[in-house]
Amino acid sequence: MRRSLWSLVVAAPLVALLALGFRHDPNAPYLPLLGRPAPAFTLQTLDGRSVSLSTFRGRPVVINFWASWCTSCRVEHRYLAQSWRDFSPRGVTFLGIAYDDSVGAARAFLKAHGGGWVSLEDPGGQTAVDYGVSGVPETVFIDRRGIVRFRSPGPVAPGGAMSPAEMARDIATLLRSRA
Amino acid sequence: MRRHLGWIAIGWLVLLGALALVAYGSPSPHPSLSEQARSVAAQIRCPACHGETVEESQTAIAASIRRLIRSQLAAGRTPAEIESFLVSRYGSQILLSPPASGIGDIAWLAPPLLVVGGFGLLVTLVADWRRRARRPPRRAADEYLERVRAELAMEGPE
Amino acid sequence: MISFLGHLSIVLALVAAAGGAVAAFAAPHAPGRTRWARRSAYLVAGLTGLAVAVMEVALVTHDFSVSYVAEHGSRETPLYYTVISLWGALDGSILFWAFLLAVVTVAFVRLSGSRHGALQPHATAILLAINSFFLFVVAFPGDPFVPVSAPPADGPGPNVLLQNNWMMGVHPVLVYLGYVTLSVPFALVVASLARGVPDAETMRLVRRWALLPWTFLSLGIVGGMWWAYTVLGWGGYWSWDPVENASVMPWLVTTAFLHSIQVQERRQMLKTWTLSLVIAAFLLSILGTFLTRSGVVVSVHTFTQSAIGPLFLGFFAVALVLSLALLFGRSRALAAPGALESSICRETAFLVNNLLLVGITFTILLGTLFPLLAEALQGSQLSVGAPYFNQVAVPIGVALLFLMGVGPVLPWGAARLDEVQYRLLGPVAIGVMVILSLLAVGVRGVGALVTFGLGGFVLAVTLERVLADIRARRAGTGESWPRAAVRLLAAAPRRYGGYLAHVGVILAVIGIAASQTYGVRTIATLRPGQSASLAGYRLLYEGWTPLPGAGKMVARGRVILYRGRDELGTLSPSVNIYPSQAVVTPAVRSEPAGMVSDLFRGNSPLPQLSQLLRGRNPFEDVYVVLGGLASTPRGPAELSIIVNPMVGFIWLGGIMLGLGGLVALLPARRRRTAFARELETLPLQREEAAV
Repeated sequence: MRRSLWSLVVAAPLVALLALGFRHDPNAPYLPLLGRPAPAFTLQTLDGRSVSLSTFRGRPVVINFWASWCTSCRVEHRYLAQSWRDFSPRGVTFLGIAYDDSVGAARAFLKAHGGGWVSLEDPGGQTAVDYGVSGVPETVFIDRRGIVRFRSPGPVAPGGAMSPAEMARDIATLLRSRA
Repeated sequence: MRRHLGWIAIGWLVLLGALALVAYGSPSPHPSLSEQARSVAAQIRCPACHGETVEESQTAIAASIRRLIRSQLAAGRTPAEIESFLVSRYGSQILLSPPASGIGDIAWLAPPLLVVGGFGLLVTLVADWRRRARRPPRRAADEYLERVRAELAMEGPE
Repeated sequence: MISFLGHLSIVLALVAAAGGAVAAFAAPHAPGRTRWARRSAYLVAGLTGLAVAVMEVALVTHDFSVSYVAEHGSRETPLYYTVISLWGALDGSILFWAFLLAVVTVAFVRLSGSRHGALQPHATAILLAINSFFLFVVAFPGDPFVPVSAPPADGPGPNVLLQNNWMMGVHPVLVYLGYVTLSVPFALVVASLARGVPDAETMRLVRRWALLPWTFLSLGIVGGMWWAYTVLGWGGYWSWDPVENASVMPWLVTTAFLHSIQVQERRQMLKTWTLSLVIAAFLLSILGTFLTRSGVVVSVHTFTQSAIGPLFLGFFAVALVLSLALLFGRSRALAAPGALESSICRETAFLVNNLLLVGITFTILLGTLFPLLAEALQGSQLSVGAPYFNQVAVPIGVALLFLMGVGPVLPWGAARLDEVQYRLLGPVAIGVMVILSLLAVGVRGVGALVTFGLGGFVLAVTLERVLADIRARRAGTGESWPRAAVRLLAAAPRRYGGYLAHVGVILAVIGIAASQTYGVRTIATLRPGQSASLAGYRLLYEGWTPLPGAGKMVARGRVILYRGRDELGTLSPSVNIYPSQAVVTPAVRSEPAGMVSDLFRGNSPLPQLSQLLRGRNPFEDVYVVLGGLASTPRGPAELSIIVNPMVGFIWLGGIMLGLGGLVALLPARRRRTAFARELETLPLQREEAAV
């Protein structure tokens, strides 16, 4: 009988380990760079001008990685545009980075769907990798000190990775942050 | 069977020779840039897929990461530096192998230790069994007779 | 109404199963109650079958008032995929599992009826208890029959990845059958441990029943690899995903059992170990199911997190504790003093075999659970994938390959080292010749060459053993070669089934080594009319045509394959574009299957055969995936091209494995008395009789 009780001793660690697995969902996306400085970059706009992230230090920045071939980007675009209309007058910079896209296709998308914020070209996707992007669309929210505060690992849309209401709240928090 | 010893010796020599040739004919230990890039990429998990490596995945982000690996290698970075850069951007789960130290020790060392330890256990067990075989069996004939009788009683007519 | 009927059947089946289990546990000696236990097994199978039939009817008639149909059915899905969507999602798959388990329980009850009178009630009780668990899960947390108050007009349909290939109807069934049939040897072992110590007759029964899951899992695993290769479009067949690992671990442990049981039958040794293997195989299948359905590890197969996970963990924990308690409790009674005349014998080889197989299983288990361990101990999120498993498990596998050639040569009992080495000379020479010939034609790569050499070695050993057996028989009976071969097979099907399985493993390993080492790939962006080259092939891209389909638009590409000036055929990789996602279907041309199918179509195989003479590998796959489509068919597209040598060997090896299992299941011809069987277990100095 005593020997049989050893079965509990042997089984307990394994079962406990498996039970611990319920605490955390490993399929939940990992949000990179949270709380860390946003990596610097200098990219060309679709018209050929050069833009650096450092120019916007002191203002909140919202960077949206997108592509013309991505269907969910089409869905989230109007919510981004609304957000731009709401917050850009209050000093928030919106930047779009076209990932793995041709200039012509990107321009055509913007012409069809509107959106007055600057869009940059990321040839080879190296800036996307620098920002830990897994796919498009992804949106990064940076505060006045250049620290990444929030991320949306998917489209910002109802039913997407982040709701438009949440985005508005996050941008408001960025505005309240200090330079 | 001593006359076989000669053949056995020849056999071992031929085998050794073949293995030496195989090792000799294998690719050189100085891999080219693209070979190095492929081996680094094979250690990186594609962040947009389930379980595929960056080397084999056809998604756009995998291609971008491959490009990054190649350019960083060309700039003189070591594979370890590239891996830690990617970890700083994508988190530690971007690497497909447990780390070589720390908690990763459990993963890398436990299986070989188990196999080697098990082999040692086997050796002692077999030695034990051989020792027991050399002791003369006690009343073996009676034992078998007993069992035959018992079995015939149980089975009845076949 | 139909929901109610289905749910009611399950609840009644649960009551019958639980009742039958209690009855059988409570008074196994009262024949009346034993009969009730058997009857309840029939009842459970009937009711569960009814529930499955009800679900199928609901699926096929698109009755969206049933929750499972509303979540996974669609009017646009073809009939075949609608029928097999029964097991395409979590709730339905557990219902299907419960049904298969009930059928297997009935099969056990019928097939072991008259013999094992004393053991059968307990074993049936355990099987019914396992049935109860699964039925409980189907009845409550995993109920697919929940009535939907406002049935939609149409549903989303099954996961699009599961609609791409007919194999989806075969591979899961085989794997489930493998898991389900593992319950029977487990039940037998646990029942006999509860009553005392299993006798030789019980172990014989366990051995026969263990061959079934082994065969099903072999076919299911290789079938899954084939499906992944042909359907998923990344040109690979194995990714060490937790669910793949979950199917391989019970298979490895069952393989170890099939070897160690032979040592136990002959020597009455290793009883505790052998029984542990049977228990471990069943527990690993439950563990694997838990990992799949709980969402605690990242897996492409994870069905989704739900309340079912904790239930499976609980069941696993209970089964683990009970089995260990029984094993520990009986360990003294099971211990048998073993004796070996020599350390060089087949017994030792089988011991090393078991060590290596368990070593691989441990590695796979550790690697699969390591992310959990790292999170629990350190809080860090780690991944464990192919590089780890390849570096740790594969070397153990190579050692096992070597053993496959040495084991059959060693006799039972005792052997002399120089004699064994002499016997191995011929096969070793063949292995070396294989390596040297490959080197001579320019093949390079240490790992692959060693694998090929070992493969040749093992094939030579197996062939030599079979020929020696036939020769020995002919010397005694004077029969012709074919007749002697057939008679031998009938007399000892397990041995020749085992040899077939060894050959299957070698073929699969050769295929894996070749395709992993020498596979090449490239990605080319082509417009219609442009070509890409790889490994001596030229692929001419001709564009794609849109084909409307049920609920999707299919873009079928057209690629013409050339080698030199010879046209080898047309490949049609396609992309299925659904509203929410695009799923690729790769096109593969495998030789020599391609040559054979050309023959059937009336095309001459001469162009391909002439390729052989010009040094082309006759066993290569050319694999094309279409992607990156522009909006018009005349625009550029991205073609991923992969050339994989000898992948067909893996499928061939899988078929041999299955064949070996089936052969081993054949009943041996001779009826022997118990005493005669006893005589056979006496240790012999030399395996062959006088030749």
